[in-house]
Amino acid sequence: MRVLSTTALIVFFSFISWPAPVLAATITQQQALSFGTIALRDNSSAHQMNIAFDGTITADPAFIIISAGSPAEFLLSGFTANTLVNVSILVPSTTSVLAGAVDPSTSQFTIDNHHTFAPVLTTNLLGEATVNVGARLTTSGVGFYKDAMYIAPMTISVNY
Amino acid sequence: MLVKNNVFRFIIASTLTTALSFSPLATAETTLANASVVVQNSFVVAQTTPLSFGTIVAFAENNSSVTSDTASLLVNSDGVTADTITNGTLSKIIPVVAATVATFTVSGAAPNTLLTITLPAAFDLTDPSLTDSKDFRVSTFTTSIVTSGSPFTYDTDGGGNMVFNMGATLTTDATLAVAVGAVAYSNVTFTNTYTMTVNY
Repeated sequence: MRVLSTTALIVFFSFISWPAPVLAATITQQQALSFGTIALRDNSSAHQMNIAFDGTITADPAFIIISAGSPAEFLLSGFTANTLVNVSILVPSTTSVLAGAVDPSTSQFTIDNHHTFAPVLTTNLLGEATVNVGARLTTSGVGFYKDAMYIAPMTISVNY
Repeated sequence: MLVKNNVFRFIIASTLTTALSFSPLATAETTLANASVVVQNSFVVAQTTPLSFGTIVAFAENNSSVTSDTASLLVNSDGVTADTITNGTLSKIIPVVAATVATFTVSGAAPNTLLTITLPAAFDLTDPSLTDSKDFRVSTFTTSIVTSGSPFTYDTDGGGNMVFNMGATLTTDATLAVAVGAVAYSNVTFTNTYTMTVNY
């Protein structure tokens, strides 16, 4: 009888120590990385604009900022609570392309130096974390830019 | 003893299962996104009121030996100051209907940004019907700000808009070569086009 009660206790302990069902980990873009709407005073040489992960914008005087951009914001959710996760940004191509169109006559931008506050984050009690991503925009320094939206892809990868 | 062994095995199995369920797995989640920038280099410059020297009676000096004898009509860019007429010895301008300054409206530009206006080069007004071969010279352009982001400054307001006037001076023909004295312009409309350039 005493042995049976010990077994029951162990079984109970085993059940409560079994991990709760893990939610599907997801990465949701809350805000896109945007350099805003700009005009260029000149493109006879390369000019740069930086958007830091914290939203700080620095730009060469050649840029006229019509509407300010913002860093990307991603919400990590469904991860294990209080867990370290590694965030990396994969950039298959730093050269921009025209959104929704092909026009070889226009110049393109280089978007690189993607960065976050830190490559390793800790999720909170809810298994969530927020990742902000900044980057650098560089003009071609030659040719002209058509009025259009220019985009460059990136992949946010979270390892845990 | 048999019971104890079974319990021990169960403890081992349970512990192993529990340990396995907590072991870290190398897992990755990814999502695709875009970085973007919108280029809006162009903005709109619209002529809301054309430059007009009004209706005038005009005489040109038709003496090649006195080419400096011209009459002029200055239209002030502020749109308020009265037109200034300077007549020559024989050349005359007599206003009938007052002149109006040109007004240009800039829109869709960057807010609170200084703009640069490039005035046109001097050009001639001619009679498209060729009834009158004489012309007028339009030159000495001036501008005045009407509305902008800052007083007396050619910068856009918070909405990227700016309005400015352009005045100029009309001068009678100084290139006639037949010495017959003053000659009247025909009752026709003398016109031409010009390009106003506004840049960041």
